[in-house]
Amino acid sequence: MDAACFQVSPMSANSSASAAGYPPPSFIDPATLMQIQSLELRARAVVEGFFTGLHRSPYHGFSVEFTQYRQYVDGDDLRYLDWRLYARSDRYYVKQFEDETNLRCHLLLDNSRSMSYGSLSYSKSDYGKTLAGTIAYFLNTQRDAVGLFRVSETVDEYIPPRFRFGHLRRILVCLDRQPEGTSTGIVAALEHAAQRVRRRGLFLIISDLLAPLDRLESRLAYLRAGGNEVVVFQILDPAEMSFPFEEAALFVDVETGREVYVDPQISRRAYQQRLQEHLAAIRSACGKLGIQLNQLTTETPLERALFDLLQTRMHVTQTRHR
Amino acid sequence: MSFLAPLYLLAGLAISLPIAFHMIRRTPRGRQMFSSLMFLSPSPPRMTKRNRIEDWLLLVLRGLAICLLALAFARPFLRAQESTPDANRESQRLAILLDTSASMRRPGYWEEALSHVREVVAQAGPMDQLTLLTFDTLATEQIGFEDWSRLPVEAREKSVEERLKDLSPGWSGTELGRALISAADRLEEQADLAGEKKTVVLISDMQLGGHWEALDSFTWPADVTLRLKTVGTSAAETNASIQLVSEGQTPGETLRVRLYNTGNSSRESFRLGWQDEFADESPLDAAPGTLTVYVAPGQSRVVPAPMVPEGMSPTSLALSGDDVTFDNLCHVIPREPRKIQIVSLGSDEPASPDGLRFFLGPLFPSTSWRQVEIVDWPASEPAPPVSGESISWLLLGGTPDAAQRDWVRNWGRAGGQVLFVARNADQATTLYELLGTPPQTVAEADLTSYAMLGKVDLSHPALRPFDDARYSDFTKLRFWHYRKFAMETLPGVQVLAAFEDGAPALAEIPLGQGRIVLLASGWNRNDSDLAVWSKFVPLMNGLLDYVFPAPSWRRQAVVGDDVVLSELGLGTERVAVRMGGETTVHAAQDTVRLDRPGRVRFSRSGAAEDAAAVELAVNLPADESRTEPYPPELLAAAGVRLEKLSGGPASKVDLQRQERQLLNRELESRQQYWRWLVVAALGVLGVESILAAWTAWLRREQAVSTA
Repeated sequence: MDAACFQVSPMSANSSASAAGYPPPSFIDPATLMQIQSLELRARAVVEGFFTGLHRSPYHGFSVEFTQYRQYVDGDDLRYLDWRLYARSDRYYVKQFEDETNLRCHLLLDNSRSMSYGSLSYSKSDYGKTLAGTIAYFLNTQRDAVGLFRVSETVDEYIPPRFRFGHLRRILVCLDRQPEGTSTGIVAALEHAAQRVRRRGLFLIISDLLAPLDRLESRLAYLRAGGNEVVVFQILDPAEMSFPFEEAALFVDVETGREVYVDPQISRRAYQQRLQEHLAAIRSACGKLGIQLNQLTTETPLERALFDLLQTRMHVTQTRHR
Repeated sequence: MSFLAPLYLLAGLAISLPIAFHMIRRTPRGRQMFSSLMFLSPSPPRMTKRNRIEDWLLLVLRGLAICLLALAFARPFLRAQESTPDANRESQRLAILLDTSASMRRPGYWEEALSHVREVVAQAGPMDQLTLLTFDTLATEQIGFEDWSRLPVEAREKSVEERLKDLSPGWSGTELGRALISAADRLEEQADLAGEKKTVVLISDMQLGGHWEALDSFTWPADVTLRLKTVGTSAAETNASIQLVSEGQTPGETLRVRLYNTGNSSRESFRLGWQDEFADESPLDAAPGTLTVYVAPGQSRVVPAPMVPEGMSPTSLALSGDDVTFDNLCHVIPREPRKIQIVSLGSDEPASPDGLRFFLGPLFPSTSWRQVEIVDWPASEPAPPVSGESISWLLLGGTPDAAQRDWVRNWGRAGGQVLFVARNADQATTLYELLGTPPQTVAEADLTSYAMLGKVDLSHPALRPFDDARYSDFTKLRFWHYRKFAMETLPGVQVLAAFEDGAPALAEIPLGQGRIVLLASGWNRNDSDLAVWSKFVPLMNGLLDYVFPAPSWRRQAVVGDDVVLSELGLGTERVAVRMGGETTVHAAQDTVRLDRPGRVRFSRSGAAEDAAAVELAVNLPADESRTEPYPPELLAAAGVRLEKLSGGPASKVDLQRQERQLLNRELESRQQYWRWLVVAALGVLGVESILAAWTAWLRREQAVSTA
């Protein structure tokens, strides 16, 4: 997998989607969506809207792949010859593809305090929860097993992946809790998660990744070493990107409560420079490990995040089968 | 440099505020929650050497602005060149207006007023011009501006003092308004001196009955101020007064008097009694004949005078029970009814309504002011039963015999007044014999129905009361019979009323010094409707007043009234006037001013006992007894520019301090340095604002570039 193609910055997400003839012109505005109290309803609204947009789309998801037959030609692998069909129809047909198992997806949601920040009417945590719920809902409709890690410094809560009645609701209820952690990173939690998961699957990490990157790369490497596919959704607030403040004030860290006097007019340029360096470092680490990175701001419509996920998964699957 | 309000200099301490603000480290205004501070570095304002210098400049500017404002509020002024006000003081014109009305006779008032005069005179500068006026109902100049200017400076106070010795409060009322106008006019007389300070110094007790109303119709000069020196304001005194309201309407009725109690009185019970000319001034005791009267403060009450004690010939009513005695006497002269004697010559029965005599009694009734006696002249008597001098009017309604005709003619020529009523044509010819003219025939008017008056001379004094549209209707008067006299046969006749054919109905014919009033028809039933006509009684009484006029003067007068001696009818060229125990002789055409209360007697000069002497009772004007203090603000409301309100005597130190304060205020208002200080402060603040903005911009740019 080419890591470079996943380096979708929030600002460039629109252009990549437009090139694929998608998304439909009408997204659900995140601000409007967040006004829906129930997380399940929010997830359903996103997924159903997504399906409406997929009406004529060739994509079918990444677990249950489309299966077709074609006539055998010389040179085809005999392992894919359908002998039962040959017995019924006395013709050689080849099964072009068939997925073996259901996908096991682990949603890993950052539960730290920094996720509670939001300059809009909702926080990064709200956005991340909705994104996780949407993916869980979508996978549930695909009959895939979905599990959940709520992590801060360590794993706060873990729901193993299942596909059974009531499991989705359990995940959604767990997601709906407020972030309580005080940690500044999820590095330690990644290690715990990697130890808990025995069977390989897909890890969807939803975090702002606003923490020192000392051991992040190694912990992500743990997950990849276990044979897991890893997709990272880095969620940032628009104010964290643009730093729009004008007046000097005491800036208070929501995680630690530390206060620092900052004059934005003086510090804005330095801040943006350091942030871009941090983001670049994350992109670099993900690129090395073959991790799909989606950097989103909380203004981005959720359907687009889902679409980006599907598109990249499709690409991965096709690449793998080739 | 001095300051009018030096306490405002304390506001200069506010200069510490910018210093305090400067010393306090700038703290951020708000707190901003943020997700992570890992990319933020603290950026506190740094104190560099250069910043400190610039801030010090701002600090100096702000401190300077505060100091300038504090100085401006302290109202500075320079007194160096004007520190000797007395030497360079502008000259002023002063008019001292000294009240000499009767209310100033209250104990202590006059002495206090004189001390005020001396104080004002002592304070007058050598260049000042001064006049001293006294006023009661009239303003009198005691010392004029020219007199003052002519006097040596050192002799002025002494001259005023000598003049004051001759002055004392009189008995007249107060005309404050007219006096103020007079004083203001005197100050305004010299137009070339306009611009110098002009002040009227009013020294008065400011009583409520002071009559300031004249000021309402006067425009007070803009450059004349009034300085009040109120006398006796601290005294809260009870003052009741007494005035004669009316004499009785009938001869037996007593007098009625009005008692007035001032609003600031503390008592309300007073005694009222008669006094004769020998009474002392001791208060009335509870002897018989005195009356206790209750009058609430500020109110008046009309009561009948007490009965005159037996064996006493009173001259005045006296009041006691109050603190102020100058207005406690009311001089009274009991009125004597005027005696009128009407002699009737005729054969009519007094009890017969067909004749003239029957109506005389109802026509001329006796009242409280006249006593009418009707005397019948028997037909056989050649002369009336009373002396000719006492006869007021002779009514000739019958046919006199020769002796009677002679008597009447002679009496008339000597000044007697005759009313000739033509009863028939034969009797009417008697008129010519009385007049002494050749006998003429008088014809009876030939009437088929009745005759009316065709012309009435309403300008004649006897008929003037009818000269009004409401009373001038003579059409209801009808004559059944009358006698036609030829006008040309009556020498000097003046027709008062004529019949429709032009014949005289009522005429006046001179007879020597007397006169004959001719009535061409009688008022008996057969001749006319006169007796039942509504205007008959006024007509006849008008004629009586015309032929026997009542005196025009009244027996009750007030101080300040002028008496024209010729109107008293004494008939001499010299008249002796006895007033207050002094007798002066005046020419008959003179006018005498009544200047004190009491009885005034006018008699023919040289006659020891003159029966025709006239005696008047002179009393104080009623308003002079209204001694309640009068609020000076009302003068200001009437347009007078008051300099200040002076109360009791102020100490000399206080006066000097007040004068110094006034001078300071005037100097400051003339210089007005505070305006320039405010302008300077605004300028400094403007520079400070520009400098502060530039400094902030420069600092920000530096910070951005270093960050």
